[in-house]
Amino acid sequence: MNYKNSFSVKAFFDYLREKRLMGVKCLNCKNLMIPPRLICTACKKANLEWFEFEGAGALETFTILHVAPTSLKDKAPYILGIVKLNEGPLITGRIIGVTSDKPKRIRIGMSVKADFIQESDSTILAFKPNN
Amino acid sequence: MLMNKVALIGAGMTRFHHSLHKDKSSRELFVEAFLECLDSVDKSISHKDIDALFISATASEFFEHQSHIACLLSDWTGLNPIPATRIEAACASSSAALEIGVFAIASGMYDIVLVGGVEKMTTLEVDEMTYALMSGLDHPYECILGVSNPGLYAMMANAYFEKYDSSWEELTSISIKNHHNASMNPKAHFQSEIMDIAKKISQKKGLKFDNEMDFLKSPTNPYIAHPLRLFDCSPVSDGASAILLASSKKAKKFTDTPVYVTGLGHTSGTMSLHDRRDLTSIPASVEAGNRAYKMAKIESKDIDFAMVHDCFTPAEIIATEDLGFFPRGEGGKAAIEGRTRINGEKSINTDGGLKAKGHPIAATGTAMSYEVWKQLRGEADKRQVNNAEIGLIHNVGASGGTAIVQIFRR
Ligand SMILES: [Zn+2]
Repeated sequence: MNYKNSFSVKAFFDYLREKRLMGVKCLNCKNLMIPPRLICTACKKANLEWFEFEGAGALETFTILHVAPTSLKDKAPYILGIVKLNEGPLITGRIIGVTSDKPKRIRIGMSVKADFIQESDSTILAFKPNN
Repeated sequence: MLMNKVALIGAGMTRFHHSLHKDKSSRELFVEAFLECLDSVDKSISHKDIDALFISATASEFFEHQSHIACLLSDWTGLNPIPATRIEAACASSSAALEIGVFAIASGMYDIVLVGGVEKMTTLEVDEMTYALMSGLDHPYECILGVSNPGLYAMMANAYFEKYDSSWEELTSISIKNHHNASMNPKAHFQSEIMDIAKKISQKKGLKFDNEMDFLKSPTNPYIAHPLRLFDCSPVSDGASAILLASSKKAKKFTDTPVYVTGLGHTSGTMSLHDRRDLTSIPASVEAGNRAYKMAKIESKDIDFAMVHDCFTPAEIIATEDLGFFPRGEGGKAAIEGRTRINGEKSINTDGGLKAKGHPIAATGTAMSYEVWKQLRGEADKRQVNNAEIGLIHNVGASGGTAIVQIFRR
């Protein structure tokens, strides 16, 4: 599929729909990045290839969002987190599989794995606890 | 380095408020700030003295379906045909406008420049306003997930609590102090102590609060983005602010007590919060501070008072560490110990901060320099910092994609 040749927002979400968490690897300095970019954040070279992340990592931080934007009003409160993927980079995702009325159950450092949820017309990156 | 020294010769702002300006739009708000700014010039100034306008509005397309706002405000202030340009950097917009104004004068192109910002926010409901301000975040990688501005600072707060073994209770020292400072500021949105607000609410609802903490921990102070509650967040306010800049040569013609711009630091950070290795600091702030200190040839210890970007309470704690006022992990403790109150070791947010003075997004940067102007001229009344010589402003765009630090001197 041709569009996946470009490291674009569209390609990231097209992959996400296929339940694949894709970023890029710098062919020059091996730096891993997610979401995909066009220029390496470390060496600034534009010499990259697709890299598939396993989707496993640890919760770096989180919040429970109570006051939501219009389109998500009905979903609030929902949980958001930043996950440090095992391969190194961090990424934001929705946290599922824990209830928002028990914030003490959500623990920074807990291991999580990627899940893909359908919301309106798009696929959303989510993470759920491993156990 | 600046080719020429630049001074503030006038400053004006509206009161920041959620209902007072109900019937005003951006143009009336900015004209009000502009007229006060003209009046503040000691030896009087006229329209024909002003060479250019750099103005900010962050999200007027959402709030008022109005772009091309630089032209609009040049027209309504009666300043056309001078060049008018809009500068946008999320919540740091108008300090960016001030910086560009300084460059325009320092280059020798202009002698006198008007800068400022305006935001008419109350046209939208809370959920729509939340969405409008999310346009300052990374749309596909943060916004779509439902991450809001309070959500980002809430995630920074939780990371901070984890790293430094601190807790939400530490944050309340910021809101209590900033409400106290705002109670002495006639321009502030909230001009009352938190306990006065608690008393008002308790009378209305038949509740009883023993002290501030009792109130702040109650359901009357609901969660916005856990762990942040309503009183951890800056309010939604309408408002405008304006500053007149002049070359130091021309400044003397208009005032005997100009305020000089001596340090400028402006950096961009990663757009997304998740692209930072440490979520308990804003690297762009650290770098902007270092650049401003270097240009002003001073160190953080030389700063007498500072307006820092406390859009949410954890942001003030992180800012006072990023700017080198306190060691890492000790910003909250310093606030609890009263070291950041007016005439404490470092007077922080003497005007009440974004938290209590209000945060009409694009008006915030130049409203910070408005307070610095008042302080350095000894006109801050009950908020006056003794022997104020050097003041600093720190203005952050969204979660730290932009950071601006500016240093001013008598
Ligand atoms: Zn590289």
